[in-house]
Amino acid sequence: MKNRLKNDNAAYALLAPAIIIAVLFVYAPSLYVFFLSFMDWNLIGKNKEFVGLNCYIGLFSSGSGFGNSMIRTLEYGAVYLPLSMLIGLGVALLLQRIHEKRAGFFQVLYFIPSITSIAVISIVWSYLYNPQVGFFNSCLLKLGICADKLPEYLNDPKLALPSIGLMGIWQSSGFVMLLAYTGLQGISKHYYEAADIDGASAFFQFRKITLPMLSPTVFFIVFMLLINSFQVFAPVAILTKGRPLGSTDVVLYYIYRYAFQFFKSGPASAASCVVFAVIFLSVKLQMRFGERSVFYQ
Amino acid sequence: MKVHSVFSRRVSLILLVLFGIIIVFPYVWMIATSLKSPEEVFTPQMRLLPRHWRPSNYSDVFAVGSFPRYILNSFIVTAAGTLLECAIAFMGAYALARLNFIGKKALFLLIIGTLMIPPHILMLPSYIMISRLRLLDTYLGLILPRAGAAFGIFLLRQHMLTIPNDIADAAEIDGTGLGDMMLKIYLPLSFPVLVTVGVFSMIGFWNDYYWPLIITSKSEMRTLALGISHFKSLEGMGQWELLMAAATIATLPMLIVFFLSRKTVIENMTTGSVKG
Repeated sequence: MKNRLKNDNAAYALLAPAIIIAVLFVYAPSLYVFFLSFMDWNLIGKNKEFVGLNCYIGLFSSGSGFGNSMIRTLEYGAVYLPLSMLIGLGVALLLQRIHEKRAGFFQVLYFIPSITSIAVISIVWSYLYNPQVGFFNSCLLKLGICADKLPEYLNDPKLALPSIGLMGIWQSSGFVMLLAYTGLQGISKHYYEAADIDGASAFFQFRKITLPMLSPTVFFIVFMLLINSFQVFAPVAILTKGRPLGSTDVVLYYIYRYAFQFFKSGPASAASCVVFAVIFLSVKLQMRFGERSVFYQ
Repeated sequence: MKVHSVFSRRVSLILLVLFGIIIVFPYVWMIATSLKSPEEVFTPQMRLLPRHWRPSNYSDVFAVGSFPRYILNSFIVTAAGTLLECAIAFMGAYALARLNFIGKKALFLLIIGTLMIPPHILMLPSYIMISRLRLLDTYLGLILPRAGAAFGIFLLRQHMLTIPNDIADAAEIDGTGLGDMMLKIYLPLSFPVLVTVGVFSMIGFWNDYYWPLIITSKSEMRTLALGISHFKSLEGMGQWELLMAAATIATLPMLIVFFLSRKTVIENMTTGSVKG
């Protein structure tokens, strides 16, 4: 018994740092943000006033801009998620067709954007997008397309969000590729051999073997990309600051503005809680509908 | 292995090379620009390689703002943060994989549960927490909240569970204590996974933009990723070549770390996240 107790204490001591950090910097702030969402507070004064659901009601009233930022975030996700998925998956399928040694080289190459800071990527892409001296417009100029009115990618309300999305896809597809490729490698070759003997076409094999066997991986990738699409922040903070005309004002930037520029803790906290609920619900929905189509070996 | 026709393999290879060019191009453009002269950058005439090579951009950028300080901060935060996170992950994983104690499952869930909450959502309450702890604008404030190591604990625990108990049992009979068991037996056996955790931790600390943005207000406490985003004000002066030199400096260290560790990292990360 004494030994048992000693053992327990050792285990708690070993886990203590991880648990203290989790409580202090994740769980306590989570409860606190929920608490703050019912309070009116300017972050500086001592007084917090209980205002009930007012902050939430305020978010959904017109003129708060929160509806706009939710829509912008969904628009971003609607482009970012499927395209990252398709490109990553397509590249992984191509990788399977070449020699494994070569595939290893490409894997490393495609993974580079995943290990580059989003701040660096944003700055480099803002140079590529620059209307006067950027690469894209220099190309257009050379080709003589739109020479009279060159696009101003990040200053154009129609183009700003897609431009940030393109950057996001460029960064993510390598990671998607890596996960998809690992999933593909895990499918036993016997299935294909058996299908070959039965004379099944390549397309039939893809539909009946590859897709079902890959579905758990695809499920995981969708989960990851879904959460990612709610997490766009740095490119907006660095490149557009939510402009032009609020066209890139995604939810996290909305929260940031209310918290650190307007010092309005109530709306910022209420928005945080709503975003968390939306992420939670979309993951639940994905589980509900995804699970049905996922095939586990 | 399914045999694909030579034709289909060739086409695949060409497409993969094209995709590779798209991925690498921004980096090539960044490095090329960082070596150009201001006049050359400021023309719409496109040219990949500089007409006049100007490596002095790299020394010039050190004179901008507190650039050397940003680099120093990034090195301090990354080195200390990675060591701390690895230690926390290793200790926690060992307890969860090897020891039996009351509340084990609950504590495991408590740690893993942190992965379910997107950190950005907590920007305001985290800021308040850090300010109450008087850690704003400090290295500890930059490091501690990010060293929770939930993913590392998960990855290492999964790995430690695959290590046969016989080894530990034999050592126990020989009277090996907890410390020796961890450091002399489990540390070497889980080293590749620990390297993976370390590399990801390193990349996380080095690249992070959001956390330093929230909790630093003094320029001299900024890390490199945050610092160069403030250099964007240089853009107005058209000094793209300096900005690109700074961006190159910020990119290279992690590129080197990744190239040196690529085999271990890719293998362990994918097995951890897909099969885990």
